[in-house]
Amino acid sequence: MITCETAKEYISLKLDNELDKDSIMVLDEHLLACHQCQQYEEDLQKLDQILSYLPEVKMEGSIVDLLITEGKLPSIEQPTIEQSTTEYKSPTLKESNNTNAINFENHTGKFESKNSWSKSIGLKPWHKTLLVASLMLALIPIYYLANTQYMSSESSQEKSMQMAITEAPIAESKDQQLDAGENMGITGFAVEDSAQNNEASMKEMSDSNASLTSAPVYQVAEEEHQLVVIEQEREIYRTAPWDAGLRMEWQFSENNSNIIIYSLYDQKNQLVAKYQIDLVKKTEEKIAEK
Amino acid sequence: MNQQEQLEWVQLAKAGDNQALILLLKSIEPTIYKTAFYFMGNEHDAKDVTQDALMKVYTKLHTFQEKAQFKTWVQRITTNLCMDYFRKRREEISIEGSELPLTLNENLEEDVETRLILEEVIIEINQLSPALRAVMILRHLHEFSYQEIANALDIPINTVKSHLHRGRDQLQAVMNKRKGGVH
Repeated sequence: MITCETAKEYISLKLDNELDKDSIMVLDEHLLACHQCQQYEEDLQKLDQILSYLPEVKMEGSIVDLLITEGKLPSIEQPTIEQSTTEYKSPTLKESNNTNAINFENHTGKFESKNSWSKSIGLKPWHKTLLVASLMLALIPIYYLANTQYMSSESSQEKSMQMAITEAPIAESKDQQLDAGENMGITGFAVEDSAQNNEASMKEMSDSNASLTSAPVYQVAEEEHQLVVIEQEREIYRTAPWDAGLRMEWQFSENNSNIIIYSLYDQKNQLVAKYQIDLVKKTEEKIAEK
Repeated sequence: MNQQEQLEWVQLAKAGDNQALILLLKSIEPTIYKTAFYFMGNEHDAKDVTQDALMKVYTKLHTFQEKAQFKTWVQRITTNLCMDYFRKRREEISIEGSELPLTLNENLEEDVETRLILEEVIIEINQLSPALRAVMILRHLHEFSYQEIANALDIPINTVKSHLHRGRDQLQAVMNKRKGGVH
């Protein structure tokens, strides 16, 4: 038999077709005997219907259009091309030394040079283009070489920076672990939390048996008959709820601080079931049963 | 627009096609606004969240991996922004009642009782804790599956189940209170 609290959770799951066949049978058995839960099921069905009437919200205008107008999003309008006055303007490359000034300003497809060195040696404009292109090609390896040298000295610096960064969390987590190990035990007896207070009462735990490596620090709490595991303020695992009448005890595995073992006991203190949670794989398996 | 079409726009937009980008953003704009509106409870904040969410989708699109679902990725961005805004707003001022200028379904105009309950339920959604509210919005407004909600909010699936149960339980209590008042 299940309690009314579990039955209500099952009713919510059933509403979404997320309750397995066995649990449906258990729920139906409970509903036959419990008028209050029958009423609750009707209420949730009514609520589900009401929620299906939630009105659509309509926006005045489009925020995407507004963002385009403000220039925060790219415009999709095609740029207008005036065929008659097409001017191709390539970027201007100017060197500080005037005698060697090369100006790539290209109006109506013609190159104009500011000096007359090409004319003096009898070169045609396309010869000049070819020369400039070869000059640029020749410069690429020089630039590349210089840059590689610079980068290699820079990358060695970067490497040492990265080393320092990767080491930092380990050192920090060692400290955290030592602190946690000093202040808290390795076995947790979760405290029943009050129905009014939904915020989990957290106990930061750490496995002091674990070697001093960068093992994550988990916070484990019992919240509404569920075991909740939090890592860096993010909930990473939550068990399915157990029956309200059961008592739960949990502890980290002695060999692996990423594994939690929790046991459920009935009112006579008899073991009902024992589970193992793998916090890395986020899986859970039953390892013992009454 | 189907998911396949949306994915094609995502690919084109990632490759630099601005037209696809704008079409994509326009297709998700209403869903972002819907979440933001129900989460924030007022038009002004909903517009701010929508604007920030659209910009975030635009600037982070290159990081979107296609093994994830685009709609859950968009809702993750939206709900995260909603939570941030909500936290900031709570620090700035205490919420002075919600302003929900919604037009109810025309079919409900005759059904005064359902309309009244619906209005109370809408106000009550706004009173739920942010975590419960996000789950309720994704389930009941976007019809996300449990797995999609878990992916969008980056929470375990059992947390989705538990939050949905608690959210519904609170809303059901409001309905019952109303029933008590009528009889």
